Amino acid sequence: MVVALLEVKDLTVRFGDDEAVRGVSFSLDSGVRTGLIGESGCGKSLTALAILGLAPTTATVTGSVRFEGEELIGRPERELCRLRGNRLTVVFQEPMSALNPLMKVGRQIAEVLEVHDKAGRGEARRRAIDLIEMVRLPDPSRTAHKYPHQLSGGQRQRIVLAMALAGDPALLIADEPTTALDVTVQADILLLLDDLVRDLDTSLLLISHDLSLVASLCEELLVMYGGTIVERGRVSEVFARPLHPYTAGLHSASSLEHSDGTDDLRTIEGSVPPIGQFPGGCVFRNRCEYADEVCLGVPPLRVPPGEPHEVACHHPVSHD
Amino acid sequence: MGRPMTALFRGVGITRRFRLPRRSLLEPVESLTALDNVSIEIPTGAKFGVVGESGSGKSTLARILLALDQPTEGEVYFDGRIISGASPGELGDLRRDVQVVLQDPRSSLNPRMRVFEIIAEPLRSLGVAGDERGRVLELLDAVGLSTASMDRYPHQFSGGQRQRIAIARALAPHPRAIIADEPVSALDVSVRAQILNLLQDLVRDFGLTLVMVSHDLSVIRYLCDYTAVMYNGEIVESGPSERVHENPTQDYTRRLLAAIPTMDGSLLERVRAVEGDDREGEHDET
Repeated sequence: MVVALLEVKDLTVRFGDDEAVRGVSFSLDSGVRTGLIGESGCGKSLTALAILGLAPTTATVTGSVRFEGEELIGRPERELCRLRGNRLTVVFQEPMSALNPLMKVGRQIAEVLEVHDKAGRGEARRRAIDLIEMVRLPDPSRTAHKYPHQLSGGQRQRIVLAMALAGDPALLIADEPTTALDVTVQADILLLLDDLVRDLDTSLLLISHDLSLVASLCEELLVMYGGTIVERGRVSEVFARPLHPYTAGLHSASSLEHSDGTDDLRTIEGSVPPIGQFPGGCVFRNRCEYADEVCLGVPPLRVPPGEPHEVACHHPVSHD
Repeated sequence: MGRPMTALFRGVGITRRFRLPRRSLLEPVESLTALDNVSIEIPTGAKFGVVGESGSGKSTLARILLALDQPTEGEVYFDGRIISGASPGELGDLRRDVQVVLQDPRSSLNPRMRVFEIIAEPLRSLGVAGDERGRVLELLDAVGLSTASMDRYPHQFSGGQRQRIAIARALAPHPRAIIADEPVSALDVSVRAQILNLLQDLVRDFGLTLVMVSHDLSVIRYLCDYTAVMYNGEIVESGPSERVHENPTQDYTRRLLAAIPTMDGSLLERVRAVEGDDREGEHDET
C-alpha cells in the first residue's frame, strides 16, 4: 500500500476545556490539490497550524499527523524547523506580515536556502533571483534589491510564494492566499499557483472560505464545520451533489452567477457559534433545517468510511 | 419600470485631484487624479453598481456623492439641486436623504454605544421627529435583529449582525438613497448571501435608490440593474447590468469578468484565454 503524503488522525486542538478542532482525520496523496472550506471560526486555519506545529502555545494538540511517514505531533521544535519551509511549507493571507520589512526581498528568499543548508551565500543569492523570475516578477535582479514596502500586495504575495517554494516542498499549505487581493490580481496569483504546483510536483492544501476558488484550483475537497470534517470527496462530485446540508448551503450561497437577483439567494440561517458553544450531538443541528431528535443526541460518523464521497450527517441531502 | 426615470444623482465632468505630500524642495508638489472627468446619472429607484479595483476611484466617487468630499472640477446634483461646493446650510435635506453603509462594521460602529443609541443617533442629530423607541424597534425588526439586541454593544455581535446594525442606522432617518461601499466584502459567503438578500428586500420595501460600490463584479451583477466599470479614475463602461456583463465592449471589463472565480471551475481557462501568453506579473504593479 502506498503511504499517504500526509495522514491526519484524530487531530484535536483544545483551549482549556473547549475543543476548537475535534478529532479531525483525513489524508492527502502526493501531487493532489485539496481544498479545505468552511466559514470563519470553523477550525480550518487552526487545523493547518496544528499540522505545521504552529498552534498557539495556549493550545493542547493531540492525535497524529504523519508527514511522509513520520509523526509530527510531539516532534522536537528543532526537527520541525528543518521540515518547515523545506518539505512542508505555508503561505498565509497577509504577505506584509509574512515578510521582514527591514530586509530586501532577495535576501529573505536566500535566507530560506541558507537555513536549510541548500546553498552558500553567493549561490543562495543567485538562486533567489531565479526564484523571483519563477514567480514572474519583472526585472528579477532589481526586484531582489527592493524592500517589501516598495512592492504591491500581489507582488509581495509572489515573493512569499518564492520563499515557500525555495526549498523542495512536497506539500504547500496556502491559507486564504488571495483574500487580501483585488480580483484580477487574485486571478494572476491563482494562475501562477496552478503552474507552479504542477511544474514542481507539489501537493496543495488550499484553505478558503470561497468555494469558487477551490472549484478553480482543486481536485479534492474537505468541508469543515464546528472543528470537524463534515464532508469529503472530489470537488466536481461534491459540488454537483452536496450531501451535507452545510455544504449544500455554502454552495447555493456562493452561486451568485446562477441567480438574477429576483429571488432570495438560498443560504444558511444563523451564524457560526463561538468555540465551545457548538451544540452537542451534530455540531450543525442548530442551523440545520433537517435536524431532529437523532441529531440532538448522536454525533454523526463520516460514512461510508474510505469511500470516495463521505458525509457526516444523519439526514444527507437527497439528489433523486 | 415603464415611467420615465429622473436622475436622483447627476455628476457632470467630475474631476478630483489630491495633492501628494511634498517629496522635494526643488520640484513642484505632485498631484494624483483620483477621478478624471467622470459624468454619471443614477436614476431614482435604481440599484446602481460601481465596480473597479483598488485605486480606481470608486470610493472617491462615493464620498463625492455623499458630499463628504468636493470635486476639484465639475458639478454634482442631487434631485436636481447642486451639492458640489454647497455650504452645510445649502445641502438641505441631503444629510438625511442619503445614508451610507461601509465595509467594516467594526470600525463604523462606535464600540462604546449600545445598539439603541447607535440607531437612534441619526434621528436625534438630524432632528427627525417621532417616537424614537418605536422607530428603533421597527428598524431592528426590518433588519432581522431581536428586540433584546437594543441593549447590547457592537462587540457582542458577529460580523454579519454588525452589518445589519449599520444598515438599520442608515435606514433610521427615512433616507431616499443608500450608498453602500463594499458592504459584503468582509463577510463569509453564507453571511454575504444573508446581507444581499436583506439589502434586496429593504430597497424594494422602502423604495430606495441603492448605489453599491464593490470590487466584486459577481455581487454587482447579482444585485444591481445598472453597472458602471471604473478604471484609473474613469468610467470605462456603463449600462444595464445584463448588457455590461453579457456583452462587454471594453477590454478592461472583459478582463474583470474573466477574473471572477465561478463555481464551474472555469476561472483559469478563461483568464488564460483573455490574457493570452502575456503573463509577466506587471498587472499587479501599484
